[in-house]
Amino acid sequence: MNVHDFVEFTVFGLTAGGIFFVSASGLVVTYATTGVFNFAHGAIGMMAAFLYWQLTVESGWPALLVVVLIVVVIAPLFGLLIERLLIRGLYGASLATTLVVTVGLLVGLIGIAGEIWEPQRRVVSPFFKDGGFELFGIGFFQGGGSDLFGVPVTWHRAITFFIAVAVAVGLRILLYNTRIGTTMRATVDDRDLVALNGARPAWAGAAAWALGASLAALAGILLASAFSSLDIIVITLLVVDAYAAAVVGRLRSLPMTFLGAMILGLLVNYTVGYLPFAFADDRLPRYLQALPSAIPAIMLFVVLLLLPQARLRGSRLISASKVKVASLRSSLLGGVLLVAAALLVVQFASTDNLFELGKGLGLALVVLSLLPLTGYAGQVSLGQLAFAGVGAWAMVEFGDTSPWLGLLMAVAITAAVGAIVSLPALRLDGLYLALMTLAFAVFMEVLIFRLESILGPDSNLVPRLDLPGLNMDSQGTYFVFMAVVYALLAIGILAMRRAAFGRRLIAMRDSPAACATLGMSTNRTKLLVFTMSAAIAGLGGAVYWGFQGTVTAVEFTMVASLVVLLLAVIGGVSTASGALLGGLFFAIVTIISQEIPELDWLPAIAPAVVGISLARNPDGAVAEIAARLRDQFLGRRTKADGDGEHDPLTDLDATLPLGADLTPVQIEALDRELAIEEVSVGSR
Amino acid sequence: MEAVDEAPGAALDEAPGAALEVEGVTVSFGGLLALDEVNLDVDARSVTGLIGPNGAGKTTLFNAICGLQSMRRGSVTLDGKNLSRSAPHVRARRGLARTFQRLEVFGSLSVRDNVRVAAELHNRFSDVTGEADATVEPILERVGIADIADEYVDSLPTGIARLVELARALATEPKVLLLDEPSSGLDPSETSEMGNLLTEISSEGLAVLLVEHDVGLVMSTCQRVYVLEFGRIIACGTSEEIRGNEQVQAAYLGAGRGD
Ligand SMILES: Nc1ncnc2c1ncn2[C@@H]1O[C@H](COP(=O)(O)OP(=O)(O)OP(=O)(O)O)[C@@H](O)[C@H]1O
Ligand SMILES: [Mg+2]
Repeated sequence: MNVHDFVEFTVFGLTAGGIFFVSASGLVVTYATTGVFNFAHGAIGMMAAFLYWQLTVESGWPALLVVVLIVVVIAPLFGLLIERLLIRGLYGASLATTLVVTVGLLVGLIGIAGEIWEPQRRVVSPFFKDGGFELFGIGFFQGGGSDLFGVPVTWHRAITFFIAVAVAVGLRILLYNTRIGTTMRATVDDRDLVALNGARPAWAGAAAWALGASLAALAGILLASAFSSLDIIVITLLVVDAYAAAVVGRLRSLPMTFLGAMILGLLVNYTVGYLPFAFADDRLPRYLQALPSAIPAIMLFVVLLLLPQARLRGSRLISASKVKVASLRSSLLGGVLLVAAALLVVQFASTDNLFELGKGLGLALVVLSLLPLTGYAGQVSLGQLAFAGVGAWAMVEFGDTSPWLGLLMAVAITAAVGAIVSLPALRLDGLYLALMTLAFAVFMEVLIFRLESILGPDSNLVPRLDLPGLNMDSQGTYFVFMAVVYALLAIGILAMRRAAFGRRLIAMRDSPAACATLGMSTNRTKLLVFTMSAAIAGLGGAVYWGFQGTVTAVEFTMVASLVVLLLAVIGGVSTASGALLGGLFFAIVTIISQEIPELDWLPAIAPAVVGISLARNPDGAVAEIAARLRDQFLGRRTKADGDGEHDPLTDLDATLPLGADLTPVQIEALDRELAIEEVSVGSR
Repeated sequence: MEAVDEAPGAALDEAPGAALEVEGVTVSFGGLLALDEVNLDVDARSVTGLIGPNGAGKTTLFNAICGLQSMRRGSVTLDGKNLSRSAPHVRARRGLARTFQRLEVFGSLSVRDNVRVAAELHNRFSDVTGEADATVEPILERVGIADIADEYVDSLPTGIARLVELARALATEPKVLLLDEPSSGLDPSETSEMGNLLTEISSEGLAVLLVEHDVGLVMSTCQRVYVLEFGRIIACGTSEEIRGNEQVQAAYLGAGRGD
């Protein structure tokens, strides 16, 4: 341990911090301007890095030209396109909806990249790869260049750091000294007010997304040469690093984000550098080797703990789901039908298809865990598969003694883990809970599941529950058993929904502020529902991987966790049948891709595409189809009554105060009322 | 008249102080001082009015009282207990309830369930349906929304949704009730019914603080009226006193409501 090392780690840390900042600043700009958090940010950077490789290494174009082409032309255009097609309709929509769209984009981009760039070794060389200079040796501190400081600083590192500083300064000037910048800053707090003042939030939003995509691309390209080979997932995970940095600035403040990025960069590099020294003979234990990649997740956890309680949000104007709650009778009937259908499937499906359908049913159990959390309480978890993984692990660990003990532990441990994970985010906006769960999924993927003492590198046998008189080793029997479990869980969750706690969840989703003023501790309610949801996912995981028979660590990726959310949305996140449909959707897509080799990309891309397109319908595919059928056969719109009486202006009166999200109709009414059109025409 | 420092007129009540005492409440948004040293008392068994032009800070004061808005200075005392540092739900459990100017109903629940959620939160019983109904149904009747109890609140006109908020607040059996423009969206006859209802519930012991732009409703129901302008209380007195106050008229004309 000496000064040379320290300087070296610091230089590396600042470089990494620079990249984190470039990435994080893009995230902040889009979020602060449009209020939509872009989970696909890292994926855009990843696409840019691969494109950079494609054009420089494969096509041999000059690096500088390619950088300019991607950062200044392609990425901004892509940002504009996303904003126009996917984001613009989302302003004022519920958190779950906006999350699903960008999460879907993330999963979709990963899927597309995987199709275009099949796995192979791809190396990107740093800028000016032969050149380098000695920090403190040349030019900087005359005469200070002792070998103490003889750390080679490559041009690439220097440039990276200077780009970060330039981005920081440039953004500062843009946001504070230009008109569009001022509009962008003002937009997210008071969209309606900005609209009243004649500025154009839509324009500002588009600019922010173009800028954000451009910064993501820049970060991706800067990062590309840091790896011995480009990896789709690793670069995409840049977004997790970035938001750990951005959260330091509460996703708003650029200076704080800069600070956060530098701290994160240094932390990661000091850990990489010094961790081995902490152990005799530099023998870093296996289980700590991945620690540096888990640091962003850990940092996020700590920072969230430190953030002060957020103001409680009021209701949003976008109307809530109005799915009728199934009565006890109809949920019982549904359960019986499901089990009957399962018996039929077992009779007729081929072994292979039964296996895929069983996996779909198992997945549906995990998806069902989102019903109380997202469907009822409006909170979003991006880490449900990680919880399922904990459940599967518990079954492996404790199921040997008795599978029932394994199941019990699966539920108990996931509940406890769920409580801990959600704890730092409860006091904050739902977005932070989503961020936390995504960080959790990454943490489990890179650090925990791979541990020898948890799942390790090989596959583990998962015991199945035993029931007297039944041969649970038969796939068919276990398949029907899973259907029974699903039916019981669904009936239970629906009963909960009809009871006081269920009403409370809906109330909290519709207006946390009103709930608090009626005496509800929203933190406690959120904690309860999140714990319950994690426990269901754990139970689902234990049962699902029992069907599969074996479990390996690599099954619990962050991307797979995201797919769980997409499937929930596809089936309908607020109905008990929705999860089943989502799971079956995945099974059927998989079966199709197996039958038709040309469609092997389907499982990677279909959930994203369908998820995004259904995101705006809170009730999902089931409700959508049901509504269509009703229209068809009954010949009338289902949601007509009562709407006619709505006078946009009367509504406006109620919603005018600051921070209200106005619908276009209301804005129009407002414009008319205030004669905005005439004013702006006159002033031009 | 400008009797901000006047002794609270609670001498008639058996309670030592007012049900709700607001002292020196100051709230700022960035550079804007939205509330500046606001003092105000709301007595049990009475309706107290709070009027003032748009942007005066009435809603902000409500938010500060119920804990949704943090204050820079000041204290909120309910029934002698200082709640300035309590979370909103704790204040609610101590007997504070409110309605919102910008609707905060539970749109995807029925009217009955909106009220039931409140009753359940108040009584802390988990799910004794019969018991809940025993509290809920009379309130629905009383507020006049029993006939639409099964409709989703989302599909109701604004005025009716405000009644749902009122019913919901009543279901927590509060000691102090804050109402933010409850009559907007109601027609004249509904408004006068609302006035009667307010008089009635206050006579049963409730302390009501009413923010209203409908001057008629304020004059007919409020025993005492405070006037807020630019975050300051500029006047306080009986309805008649306020009606004749030139400063108040100037404030209203100056900031003109425009309708
Ligand atoms: N969240 C906020 N951020 C910034 N300024 C705010 C915020 N809420 C209110 N204000 C400002 O504080 C002042 C008081 O607003 P408030 O809504 O309390 O007025 P009000 O008396 O209720 O008006 P109205 O009669 O229109 O309801 C206004 O100038 C408003 O612009
Ligand atoms: Mg107001």
